[in-house]
Amino acid sequence: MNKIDTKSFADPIGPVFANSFAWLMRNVLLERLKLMPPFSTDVVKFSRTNARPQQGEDIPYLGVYLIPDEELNGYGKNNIGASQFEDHVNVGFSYIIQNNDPEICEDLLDRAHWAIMSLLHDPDWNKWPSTMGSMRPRNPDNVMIQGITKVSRRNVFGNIGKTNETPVGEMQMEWMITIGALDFEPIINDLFQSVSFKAIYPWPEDPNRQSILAEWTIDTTSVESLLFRLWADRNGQPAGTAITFMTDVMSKTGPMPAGTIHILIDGVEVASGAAASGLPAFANGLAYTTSSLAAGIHMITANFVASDGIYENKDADEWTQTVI
Amino acid sequence: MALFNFTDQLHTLTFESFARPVTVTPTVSQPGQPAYSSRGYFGTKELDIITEAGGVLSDSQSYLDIIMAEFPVLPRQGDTIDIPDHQSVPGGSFMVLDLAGVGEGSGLITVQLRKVVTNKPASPP
Repeated sequence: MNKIDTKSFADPIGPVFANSFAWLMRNVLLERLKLMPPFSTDVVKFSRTNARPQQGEDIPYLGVYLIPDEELNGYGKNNIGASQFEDHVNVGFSYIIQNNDPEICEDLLDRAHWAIMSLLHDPDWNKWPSTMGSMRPRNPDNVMIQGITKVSRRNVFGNIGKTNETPVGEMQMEWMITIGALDFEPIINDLFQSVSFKAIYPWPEDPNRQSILAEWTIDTTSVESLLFRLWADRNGQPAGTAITFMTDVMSKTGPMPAGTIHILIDGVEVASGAAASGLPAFANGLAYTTSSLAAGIHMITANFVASDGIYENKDADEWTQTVI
Repeated sequence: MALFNFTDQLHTLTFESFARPVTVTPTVSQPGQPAYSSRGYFGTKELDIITEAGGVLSDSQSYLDIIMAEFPVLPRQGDTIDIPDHQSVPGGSFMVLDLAGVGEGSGLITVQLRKVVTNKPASPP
């Protein structure tokens, strides 16, 4: 058996990433809000957690938190196969401002609430996680936001007794988000290249009879199939931001494929080269970085032209890149 | 029968030593009347505001104790009280936030204060 070096590449299917999809999604959501008014112009402090007391100088303040409880509910037939979950995540928004006029304060809080809600007009809103680039590229669908099942919003003015001295107002909002099913497939570090059989008749062996013995080996590498993937390290980024498109061509059962990879943007080839290691991002692929994509939606494609006589040519699934 | 007149025999005397000057603009309590000078005990203490998901916004609670007899018309919510720096102790500009009841029973009453701040963000036009 050939064994892949687990120190450099733990998963023959795709890299294993360090953070949960919920964390990635929350970060992307916050990054989106940083770019849009009123937050882009007004907020002096953005935060992912409420671990520290917010100070008066932090106002206007926007926090986007993962709040209790994220629940991973069993999905599919968990008792007979790989674990799958439907991921339910609660995201909390905290927008704090100060204004001596309570009505104007409430007006501004409401505008902030509606600005966040307006994100849902984005046709690609359910792809927020893909902008982080560190999801498992083999199945981006499973980290898309499946739905928002509930939104709770309230405006709060000061402490319970309203006796605090600073005329603050806070827009509190929670989104109950369902992320698509998460699957935890086994990570196999071995390559299943052959299986050996040994047959004996009769069984148990009879010392008074001559046994019939047969042995044979089936080489599984005769039925090779390729996994060819294409993804980007971010999506939904502003024009001018560097973005790296990555490809990876692998075989679950056979030797490392050899050949040439071509990357095309909107049908125009922008890079080509031999599949090679780009660890830790990919094991056998090609990367292309650009910061010149214009605002809009771009279709990224890639194809692999095999040169080793073992595999056939293959096209990767198309990647949709949004530039804002 | 109470043995003491707290206002005359206690508060007035202690205010002579410990109160600080303030200026009240009676926008609500006496509309159209000019600002007037008075005095009071100014106090402030830290107060936490619970925010989204158990977060905390660190704020303060500020108040001014005044002698009721020194105010023919008590300040009301919306009046402005300016408390200048005094004896090396900072003050500030405040609005009357809350004033209720008849004080704590000895002629003093506590005025809860709300700070006059720079609006953040700026109010829409």
